[in-house]
Amino acid sequence: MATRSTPPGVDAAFTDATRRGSTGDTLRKLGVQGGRIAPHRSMIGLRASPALLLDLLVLPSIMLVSVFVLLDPLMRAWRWIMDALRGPLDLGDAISTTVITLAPSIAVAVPVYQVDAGWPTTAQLAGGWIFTAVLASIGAALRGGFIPVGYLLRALAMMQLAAQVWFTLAGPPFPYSLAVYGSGLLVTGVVILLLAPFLVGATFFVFDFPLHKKLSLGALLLGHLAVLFPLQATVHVWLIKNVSMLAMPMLFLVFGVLLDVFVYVALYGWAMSWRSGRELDAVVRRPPVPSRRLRRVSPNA
Amino acid sequence: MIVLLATIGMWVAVVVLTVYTARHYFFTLNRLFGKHRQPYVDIVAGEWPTVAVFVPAHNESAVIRDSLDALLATDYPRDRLVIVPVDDRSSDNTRAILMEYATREPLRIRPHLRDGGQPGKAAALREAMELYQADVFLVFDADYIPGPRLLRQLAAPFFDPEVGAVMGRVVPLNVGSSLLTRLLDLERAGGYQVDQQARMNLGLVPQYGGTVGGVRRSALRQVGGWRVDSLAEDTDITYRLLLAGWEVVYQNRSECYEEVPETWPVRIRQIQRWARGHNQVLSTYLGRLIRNPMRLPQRQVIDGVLLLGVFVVPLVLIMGWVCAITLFFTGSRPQWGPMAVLAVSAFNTVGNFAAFFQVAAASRLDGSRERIRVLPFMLLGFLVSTFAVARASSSRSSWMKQKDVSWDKTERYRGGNGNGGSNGERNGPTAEAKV
Repeated sequence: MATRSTPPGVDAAFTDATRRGSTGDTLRKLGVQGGRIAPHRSMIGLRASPALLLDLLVLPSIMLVSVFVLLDPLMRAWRWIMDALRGPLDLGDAISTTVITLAPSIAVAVPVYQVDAGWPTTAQLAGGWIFTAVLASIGAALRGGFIPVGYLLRALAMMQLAAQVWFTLAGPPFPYSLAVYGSGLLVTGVVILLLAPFLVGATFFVFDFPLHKKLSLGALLLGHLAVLFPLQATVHVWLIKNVSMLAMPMLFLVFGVLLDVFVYVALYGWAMSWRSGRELDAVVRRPPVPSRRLRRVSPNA
Repeated sequence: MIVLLATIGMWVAVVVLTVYTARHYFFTLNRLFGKHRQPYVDIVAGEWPTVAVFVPAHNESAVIRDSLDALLATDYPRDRLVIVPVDDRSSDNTRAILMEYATREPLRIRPHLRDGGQPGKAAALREAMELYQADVFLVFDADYIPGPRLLRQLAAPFFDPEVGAVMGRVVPLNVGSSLLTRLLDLERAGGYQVDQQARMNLGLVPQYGGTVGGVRRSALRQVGGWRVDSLAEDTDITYRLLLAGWEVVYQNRSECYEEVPETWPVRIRQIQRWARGHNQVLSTYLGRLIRNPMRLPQRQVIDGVLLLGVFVVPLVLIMGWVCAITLFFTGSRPQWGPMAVLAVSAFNTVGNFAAFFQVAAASRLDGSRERIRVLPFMLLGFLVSTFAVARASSSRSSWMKQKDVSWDKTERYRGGNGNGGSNGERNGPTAEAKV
């Protein structure tokens, strides 16, 4: 009676798995010569574990505490950046401070440009109309692969149109001063910095990335936003000061928090493409049927 | 008064979007960590039901050979399978190709040729299906290329007498053709790998998408067959089966390749057609679903309602933006107080992100690691979808039954340039990632 010999790797892997007290599930996935049988992508998933729960609770907490601890030095850094840019960009004589109470015992001193912008002049309004028309025209003219950009430009044109109509029909004062607007942007920035750890925790830490990669995205995001916010506020304030209040609505609605969200989307998209070295790396999607094989077309097609 | 209305409108939008955001997030977590419900995937032997595979076609000469070759190469028992390409008034070479295949495989390929009657996929299917007595009717669009085991996988759920319809997974074939196809690949992944499978796991309402799937003949007859006045006969049949107590199941393992639109105008027309069809179903079945005469589980009713509302969300989103702009100009923002600012910021940062989370998770599950890098470009896709769907959803035709439903062209790209293939293919869940 012939006996089938077992490939040598299987014995070793089996013994090793058994020695480590592996479950039947582990053994079920044990392939020839000790290899691992990767599940099909339709079956793959992650396993909730105490370590994962720890990642979800502890890492965001560490990030949050770090943000709180670093808030004062961060505000000093923002003040330094804004002060350095204030002179060359002619953004007022000094940087003042506004104290924002985030919670009963937590306040933060946000730096503020002391500048103001006027109600748009007739020339500025006319320029705005031309700008709106150009945006709408280019948006409508774009074809082919640029259609989405066309949609974006037309959406911006609609938003600017609303501002044009408002500033044409209404009279001063505008409900927001430039200084309050600038400080509002930075306060929102602080709020986002405080929310960011939970966002990263809820959307990235749930995956099977190693600890250093999880911390890397958290640090990248917080670091990027920490530098972005004062620069973003400076650009907004400079534009509004030079272009008048006419620029404020679009800057606030499109290039404010929405832009900040897409900073995270971009970083997140990159981070999600990193290797985890674990469960989700087990599946590699191969290209589908080579297109060459499908390029047979009937002569009359 | 304007401020009050704008405030109400904006908070309505925030609440609606928050509900859909929570749904995205919950589905994604369920797909990642939940117990997979794929009860029929291990059925490999049995007394297989008789199956008729219908392939609706209208000017499909560029792609139909690949589809028929693939169907003939499947491992479904030969004596239990008949393939019925349904040619509806093609003006190209499609009919000649079908006759060529029918001559070669007379027992398995039986073309159904139409020159009259109401045009359109639903009408063609309705007419052809009345002539066949197979236990199960499967449907593939003419550009789909089923793998060798796909028919068995799709037929297996029908061993369960409660199953009325089954839906497989659609995977784009022409992923690398353009930015749009890459974005659609991500959307499809989110829609099927996460959304549909989570619904299956949770016992909710997986959607029959009109292709790569099928219905039990007796169930179809019981609910009155295909509606020829519907632009979304697939969504329509999903809800009629649901309301009649049948189960619709999703098979994530049953994958089939399809061509996705490669150009934006084609994509816009496609998604507007889906929106109009979906909204017709919404107006027809929402009331009945809420009244729940069949005493369906509450979770199915809630999921069914949310699924019906998917194409109304872009309208709500735009309303929210208009209200936000109004409030901005009226200077109402400071009156909201820090908590409101915090809530809106939280929604903007965390809430809006849920769709990206779902898509990224799906692509990661798919092993399409590097494709996730185009994630930020989905903003452009969302923008186009939002305005295109909003335009379709605000049109009158979106809410009324159609008198004349015809073939709506979806271009084919195989074999060179896009050419005039067509079908009414409509993969509802794929639109989910847009919300």
